[in-house]
Amino acid sequence: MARTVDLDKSKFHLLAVSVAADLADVKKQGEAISFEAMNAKVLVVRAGAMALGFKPITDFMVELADNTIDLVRAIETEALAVSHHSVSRLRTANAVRMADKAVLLSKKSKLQFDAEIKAFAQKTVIADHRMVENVLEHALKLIRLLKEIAELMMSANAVAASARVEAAALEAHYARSFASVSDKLDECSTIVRDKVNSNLALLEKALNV
Amino acid sequence: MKATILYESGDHKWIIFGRDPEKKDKIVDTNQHMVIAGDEAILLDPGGIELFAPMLAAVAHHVPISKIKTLFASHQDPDIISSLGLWDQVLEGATLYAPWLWEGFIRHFGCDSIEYAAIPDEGMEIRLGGRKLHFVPAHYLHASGNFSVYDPAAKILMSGDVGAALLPDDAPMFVEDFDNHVQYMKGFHQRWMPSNTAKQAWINRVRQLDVEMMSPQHGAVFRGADITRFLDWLEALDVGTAVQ
Repeated sequence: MARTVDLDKSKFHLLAVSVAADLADVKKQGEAISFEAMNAKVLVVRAGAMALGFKPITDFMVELADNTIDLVRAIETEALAVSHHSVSRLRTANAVRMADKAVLLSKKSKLQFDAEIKAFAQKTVIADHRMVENVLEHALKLIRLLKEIAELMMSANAVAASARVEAAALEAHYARSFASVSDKLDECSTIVRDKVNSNLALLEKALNV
Repeated sequence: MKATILYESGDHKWIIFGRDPEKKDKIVDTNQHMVIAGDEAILLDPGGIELFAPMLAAVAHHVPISKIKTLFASHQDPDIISSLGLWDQVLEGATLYAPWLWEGFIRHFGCDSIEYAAIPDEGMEIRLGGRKLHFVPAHYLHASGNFSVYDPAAKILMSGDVGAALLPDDAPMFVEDFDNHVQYMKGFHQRWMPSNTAKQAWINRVRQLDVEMMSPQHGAVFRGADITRFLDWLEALDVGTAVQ
């Protein structure tokens, strides 16, 4: 379980930073999906009765795009939080090491106020545990969000496939336009899915979940 | 970490910490100072992150950590104050006095719970356990925002990098032979101090103070007549000249 993971051994702070940087691209793709959904909506209006069969697909694309944007924003927030907290945690881990060293030094010589150093050492351990909990809490939340968006992107791939079939039945000009929207949706969702899955695998491995 | 008492009178005490035998070779040796007055203590230039543990242990010899409510940083260098992020986790309700110029920089070391009190360019006076401490401008010596600390009751001037010397290991804590000591100061002052004008302004300021002991952040402590000798020597030295 994640609670037993050694963040130092896995150099989790480095992973967290690179995951946050890598997932920044997901936002761009999410925005592109939203843009394609709007394109599809405009096309449906222009095509009028001819594209009636396309309307439910477009509605679903818009809903999917909205959900994607929401998720992408939440992912961005959590990825940055994981990255920020895991780097901040280096400081609390360092405080633990320094406090341990001070306790050792205080044992060597009889210190008048050594109880305070011991108390500080305990305080650093508690602060460090709290920070590790913080990192794990955000990391687990990020994993949940990544899984959620990976599933959503599978739906997006399925919607793109249906849209392509529906587009084939339209007049040549609209068929090309709808097919282009479907292809872009498919492409963006595949990029997101690949990126999300690779980062998900790295996080799950590092956190042993 | 060796501790030497520089001054003690009633509840007023100056202690210098330095010559840490466990210090890594390539880390420059530094002097940290603690002033205790009444029920309060201040750490002057508490040192780098590498020295935090021995400093904490050394300080706890003399005073409960909870009595340290004030820190002072003469400037922003890492050997002066990079331990701030750790003190930030030890001290409760503490204040750091440091040049206003460096606030945005010093905060990079970590300053969440400690309050940053910005010292204006003209300097200021604080009270510690009823005693006065003056933050005396020492700008460009060597940092562009820089202060010395003067205690009029103890007649001690903590001069920061002014008077600093890069001494061999186990050198005595006090200057014993001024002429011999010059070799360890000359290059430092010529290279680190960039301005003869700023140097002269500081000398003029210090000559007006009643100083019996001048304690720099590196090297050895000057006493009595050696202080005037040092000021005369520095006045004659052309600084900012080590690299042409």
